[in-house]
Amino acid sequence: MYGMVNKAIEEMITSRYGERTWETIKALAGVDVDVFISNEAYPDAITYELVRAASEHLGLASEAILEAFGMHWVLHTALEGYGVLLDAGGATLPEFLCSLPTFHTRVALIFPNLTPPVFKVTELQRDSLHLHYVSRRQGLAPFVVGILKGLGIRFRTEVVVSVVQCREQGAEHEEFLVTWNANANESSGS
Amino acid sequence: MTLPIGLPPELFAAAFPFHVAIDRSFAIRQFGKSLGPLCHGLTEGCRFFDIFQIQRPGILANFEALLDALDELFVLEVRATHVKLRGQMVLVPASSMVLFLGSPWVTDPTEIGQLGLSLRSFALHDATVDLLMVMQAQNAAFQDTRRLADRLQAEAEARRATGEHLQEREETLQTFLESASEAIVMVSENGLIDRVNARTVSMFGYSREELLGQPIERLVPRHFAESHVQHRTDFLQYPRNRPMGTSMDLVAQRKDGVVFPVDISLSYVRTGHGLLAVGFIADLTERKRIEEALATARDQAIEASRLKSEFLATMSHEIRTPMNSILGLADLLLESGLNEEQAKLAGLVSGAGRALLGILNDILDNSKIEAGKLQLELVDFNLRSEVDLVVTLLATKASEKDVDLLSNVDPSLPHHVRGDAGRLRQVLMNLLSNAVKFTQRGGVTLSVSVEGPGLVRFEVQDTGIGLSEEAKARLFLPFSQGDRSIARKYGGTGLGLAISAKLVELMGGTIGVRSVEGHGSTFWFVVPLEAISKTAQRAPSDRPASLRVSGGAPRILLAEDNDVNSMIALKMLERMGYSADRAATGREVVEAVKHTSYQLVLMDCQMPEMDGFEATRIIRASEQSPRLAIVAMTASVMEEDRNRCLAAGMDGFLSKPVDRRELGAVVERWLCAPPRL
Repeated sequence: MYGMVNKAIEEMITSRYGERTWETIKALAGVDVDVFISNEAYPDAITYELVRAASEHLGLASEAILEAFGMHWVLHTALEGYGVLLDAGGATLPEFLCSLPTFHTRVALIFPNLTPPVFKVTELQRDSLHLHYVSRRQGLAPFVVGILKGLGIRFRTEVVVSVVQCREQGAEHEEFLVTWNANANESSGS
Repeated sequence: MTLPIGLPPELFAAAFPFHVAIDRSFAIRQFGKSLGPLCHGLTEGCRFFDIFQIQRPGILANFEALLDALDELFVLEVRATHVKLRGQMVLVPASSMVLFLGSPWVTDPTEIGQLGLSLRSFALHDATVDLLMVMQAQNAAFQDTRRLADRLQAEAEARRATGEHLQEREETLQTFLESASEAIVMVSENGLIDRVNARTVSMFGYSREELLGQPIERLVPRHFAESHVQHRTDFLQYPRNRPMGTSMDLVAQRKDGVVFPVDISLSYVRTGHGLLAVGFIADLTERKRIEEALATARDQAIEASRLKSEFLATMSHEIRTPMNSILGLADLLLESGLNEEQAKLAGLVSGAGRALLGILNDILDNSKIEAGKLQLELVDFNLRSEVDLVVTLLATKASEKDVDLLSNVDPSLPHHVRGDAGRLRQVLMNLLSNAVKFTQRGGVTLSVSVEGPGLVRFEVQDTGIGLSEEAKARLFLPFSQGDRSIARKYGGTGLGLAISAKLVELMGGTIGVRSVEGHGSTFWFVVPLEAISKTAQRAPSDRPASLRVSGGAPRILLAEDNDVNSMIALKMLERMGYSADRAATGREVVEAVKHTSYQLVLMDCQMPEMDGFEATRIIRASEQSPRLAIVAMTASVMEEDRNRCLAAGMDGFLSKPVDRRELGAVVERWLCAPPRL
């Protein structure tokens, strides 16, 4: 997993619960890394263990932590390192979501050691779209939901995310229906 | 072969969103849609050089020069915004136009937004976006590097601060160690000396170099070295703070071989290099020397005190024996029908003897008080009777001086109280006799009143010579009287008031005096006396319930080796109406009681062949009920003597010189039949 992901988990935990809690969680996870390098590839197990330990220590479900983490990622972490690219990714939620597939393709090219997920947008409507999320990593769907909700906040768009299909129910990949209030977005943009 | 590529305009625009097509007159014929935000006023037909300036390659004077440079990289600058576009010029043979194919030259991702572009403004094949992402990744890496550098810097500073702190602590510890008055020795787990302080060097005579790295047994006497190895191994296995060898005298050995006493406390510290045992060693040489000197001084003091007591006991005994003869004979003489002058002379002998006896008793009391051996005896007694007795005893002396002696007892006082009647009487006698002695005219009044709950106040008021302020200040000190002239004029040892003060103090009371020189004195004391109800009174006598009683005349055996004293006692008994036999040794006593059924033995303690103690023990050992009453009658009057008598099995104690009244009371107490008068 991209070091930036682990760094984002660290930032979220320390900003909400403090440095000591992060050190405790890290110890619970058996992770002995002082500083995560953003562009370094780390074993996926580290990320999973951090989420598991945070869930155990904070008494929260893993899904809730992943979702909160996805929101934190969009609203804080990605802004710090890649805010400009996020800005350039589009002026509206659908525009941004439509740029996601190409964006991740470019990431895969630049960082050949990483295996970023594949996104695909279908059924683009005025107020909805279907986002297909294909990843070799299991269990990160709540993270994607958090990202989508975070993007809604970023673009000041009321967004609802529902799962159309998921691997846990036998599907090949996750598919989300993302709907937003197109009128509100237009009026706020006008 | 040439591929027939004919792209529709919208696809061409999507593939080259920043393209510009110009004709030979440098008029713009077509341009990509993404150029719009960059080039204001860009329209088809407008002049190329109105919008752009060709920065590279060089200055191109005309269209042919442009064509000559087609194989070079072109950099255009938008005149209005100074945005640079990088790309190449391509000749389109069919139309003789030149196409500029390129995209904005962006070195900072932030410029995308500033130019009004987005990622979708670029063609998918355009690597500019990828370049921007790489640059962004580089930025992220740079930030990571800076973050790491900051953290390293912080850690370095923390280490430096920690190092300084450790250095400071080390210096503090070193100062503490070096200034300690005890030797402090740290020993590693393998028994080698790791650290010592300055006191260790001065105490043991080794230099630090001679100690560091050496086995700790270097400081232990050789004959203890082997067992010490085991002890230190045990300690390091289960270390705890404790003194070493609490039940034994510890010793250490100096470099010069001298073995000296020490006290050692053990502790330990855990270090990064393992456990260190820490010994705190105090040199006890000086303390032992002082202790021995103190012990010697104490032994000497005890011995001196013992010798003094022994001397006093001996002196008392040796004086009392002839005194018994003098007083007894004087009393007998007085009752033998003397003429007036003879009676007066005999009376003077008796008075002088009793004065001498008083002095002797005062000296013994003072000695007991000084030795802390004087103990009170709590008995139940009639307070009024004691007061009356004292007044009666001194009435004759007062009337001889024509001094009125009155007593005034508060009627609300309890009749029966518990306290030391004898000592109370002694204090009253002392104060009253002093008052009578120092009063030439007027009177002496003894007042007894309630001071408070359980407290009784005694006041002896006289109209005598009074006391100066100076005299009052030292009145209750031993061997102190008003002044020397008083001693010469009135006599006395000066012990009486000091003893009275001590007795009152022992009773838990207070004593004092009010006096104006020439206008009399009032001596007072307040003592606690517990009121006793009649039913709670103790039996007046501790006479055994089963005593030997004969039907005939009471039979008394007098054990006395001194012929004169024997004669006096027998006479006294005879005049009281009692008959008595005499035994001169303890052995004779033992034999006599075997053959005669005596009711009372008056036992002298120090007799030849067998003393009174031994005789009593033998009698008691073979005795069957009823019990024979044995009362000591001895010149040995110390507390130990009294206790020794009781321990031997005697029932009572009479001191010599024998007072006739006391003898009568004792005989009456221990015999069932009243005396025949």
